[in-house]
Amino acid sequence: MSTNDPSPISDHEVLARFITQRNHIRGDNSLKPNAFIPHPWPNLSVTRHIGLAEAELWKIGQEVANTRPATLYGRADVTVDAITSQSLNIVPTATPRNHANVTGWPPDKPSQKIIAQEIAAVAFFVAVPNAI
Amino acid sequence: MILGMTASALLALASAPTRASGETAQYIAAQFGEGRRRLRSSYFLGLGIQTAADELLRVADECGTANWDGYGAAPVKQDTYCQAQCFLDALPLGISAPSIGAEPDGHLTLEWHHSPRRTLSVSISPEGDLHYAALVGPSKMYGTEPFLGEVPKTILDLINRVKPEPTKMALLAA
Repeated sequence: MSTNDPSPISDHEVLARFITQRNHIRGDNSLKPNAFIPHPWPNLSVTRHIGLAEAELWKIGQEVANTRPATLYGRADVTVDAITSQSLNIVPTATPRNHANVTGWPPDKPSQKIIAQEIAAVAFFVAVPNAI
Repeated sequence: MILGMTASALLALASAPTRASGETAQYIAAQFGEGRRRLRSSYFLGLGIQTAADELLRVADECGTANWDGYGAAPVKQDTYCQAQCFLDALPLGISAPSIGAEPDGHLTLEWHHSPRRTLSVSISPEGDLHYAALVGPSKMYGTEPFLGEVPKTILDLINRVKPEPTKMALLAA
């Protein structure tokens, strides 16, 4: 393994899905399943918390928002086992830093929706701090 | 009591559209539709459906151009908006209003949410396909139904399981 290879994923890691659409957050701060549906893309992008300080995590989130460009509203935190229990895989990538793809999604939309609902049911929303 | 019976009758009358053709049938259908619209304007009977319709228009407008999410999203087409509006119109009176969203493939989403494990999401395509997924306690239901002018029974049943109709419950209690 070269020094650029990402570390293997462990079951107890936490992953962040950055939220750039206000409509993905309900009034009670829970998350809508749309935040986790990759369709029409094959994979879902997430950022691994591992090895990152909170400020570094938000910096990555802001970079994600800036590339669109979009407003960063917060992040959805979800554990690795909440993803893998849905028969999905998490594939870390060398770049960008701490990035991973959630792969193995079924191709049809209803199947993706029900998986996204299961993930949303256990995901935790963290609002973006006032100053990042 | 009389008010309760009247409201019950209105709810029953206003629960299904007609497929009849012919001049008289069309006149009756038009009158029926106008009656429904007036009942909808009552927040109590419409339960916020008009608010949902306003939200639908706003979301469709905001997401009407390509790349509205900055990540290559398809625009919400006029056909999709029309299908979603017709779906809202076809909901029986007394049904709780959904919240509205848009998806990167240009579909519109209607969501009935009570709690993380009592939740229903319906995606509406421009062709009128209704892709639905629901968590109800430990059970999960998902699939696709066509929208042919009436809300499919499968989806109506799921709405009632996720969010029981408060209007009817209130009337039964009266």
